Amino acid sequence: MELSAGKDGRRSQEFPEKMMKRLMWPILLVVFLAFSGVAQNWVDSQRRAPLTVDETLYISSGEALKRASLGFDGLMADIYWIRTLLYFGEEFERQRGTNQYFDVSRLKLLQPLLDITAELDPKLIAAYRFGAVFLPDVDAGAAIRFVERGIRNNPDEWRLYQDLGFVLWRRNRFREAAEAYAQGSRLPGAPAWMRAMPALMMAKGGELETAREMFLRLYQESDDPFVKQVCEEQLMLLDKNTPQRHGETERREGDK
Amino acid sequence: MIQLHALKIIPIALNTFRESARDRALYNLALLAILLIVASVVMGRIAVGQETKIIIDLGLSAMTVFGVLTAILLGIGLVSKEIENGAIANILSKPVRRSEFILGKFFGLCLTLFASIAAPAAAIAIALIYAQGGVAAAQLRLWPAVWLIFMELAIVTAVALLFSCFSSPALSAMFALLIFLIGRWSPDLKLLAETSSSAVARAVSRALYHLLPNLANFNYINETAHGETAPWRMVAGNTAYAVFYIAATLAAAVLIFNRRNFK
Repeated sequence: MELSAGKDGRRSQEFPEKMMKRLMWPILLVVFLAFSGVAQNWVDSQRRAPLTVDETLYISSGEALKRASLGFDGLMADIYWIRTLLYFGEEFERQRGTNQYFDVSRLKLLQPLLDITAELDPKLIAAYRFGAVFLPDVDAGAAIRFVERGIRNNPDEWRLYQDLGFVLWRRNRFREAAEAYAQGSRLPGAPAWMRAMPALMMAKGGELETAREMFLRLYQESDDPFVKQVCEEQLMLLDKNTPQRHGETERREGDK
Repeated sequence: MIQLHALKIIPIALNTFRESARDRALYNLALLAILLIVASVVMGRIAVGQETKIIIDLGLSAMTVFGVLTAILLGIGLVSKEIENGAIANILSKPVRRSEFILGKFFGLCLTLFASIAAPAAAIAIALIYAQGGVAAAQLRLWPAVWLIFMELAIVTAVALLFSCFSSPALSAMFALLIFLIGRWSPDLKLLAETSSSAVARAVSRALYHLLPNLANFNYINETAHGETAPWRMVAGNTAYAVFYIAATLAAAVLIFNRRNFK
């Protein structure tokens, strides 16, 4: 009896000790985690506002990055593309807080980031298209060179010609814009409306006779009803603006 | 005549596969690759219409990097472990040629590599199906690129095995990694061979270009990400190059291994 009582007594003493040993480390883990959380909160409260640091690209050479990427150029290009988008988005968010019109010209790193992306992956069309839309407000000359580079690397991509035409139109370089649209419209997959753009650009540039000739030729050659309609409308507009042609327009309408 | 008995090579290969498959590093690396592939689906969402490109770029790149680490980690210990724990004497006392031992080890590790890249490849395929909203014929272009990566890893394995025959594991790992880096930069070696003004430099560069593995051949990741399928001629040509290069490397490994005295 005493023996079994002793055994039970030892067991009842051993059990809490075993439990304590088993629970000690998990308890310590939770306690120390809690303390580290408190310490982190205190450190955060002591932190001063970050210094304003100039935007910097530590590696500005796409060629160097290409060498260092060990053949993983595409992946590096993706990283820089995402970085470009994040850079753009962060600046947008920063300016949104000031309730002012978004000033793209403040994005000083946009051009080098896009240059690096294009160097790493010359076939990343999205980068050239993004540059065509936003780079003109940073540096128009650089934007034109950037899109032209995209065209050299992707000569079959009609959208880049459209983007080039757009950039040139914004700079009032209508003849060059017309040439860009004309080249793009000849590529496979180019939409029918692009064929009318060269003439539209010439009209915008004040070369009304040239524009008229282009619209007339396109009207006669095109099978697309939409293109024919656009050409007809533009010819009527041009004729109205040109007095000696005004009579011809009235006669053409009368023939109908 | 060189006589190699497949009946002796196959059991060694299967045993090597079984042993390698127990290595936890293998599973950790495969898991890391799969996690990166899952992350690529998320990254693709913020890349403005480049989801497919990022999944393929990140997925195949992760597969290559982790595959190379697996090939080196397993390859450097293939022979040296047996030597260090003394099992080599037991193995070679059996009627097994040293060449059969080396080949069995190599094929066993290739089986292991195949299994270790199958999971990430399947993860990429699933990620593409998810991103593109269903199965599409264009997703098949992934598989020639995966095959080329496997060929590249097989070459790295053979090189690691070669170093394992005469060097310590640490040095073997370093050499194998260096060979991988130089192999990836082989187009620059070729450029040096063509453009250098020194005749000696041209000759040395040309020799190194042919002696070292040309691993840049097997990199079709960027093109695949842009929607191109590796042409079958290119795949066949690179496969033939890999087979010949591996055979040469294994021959060198057998040559060195045959001359080693394990007493």
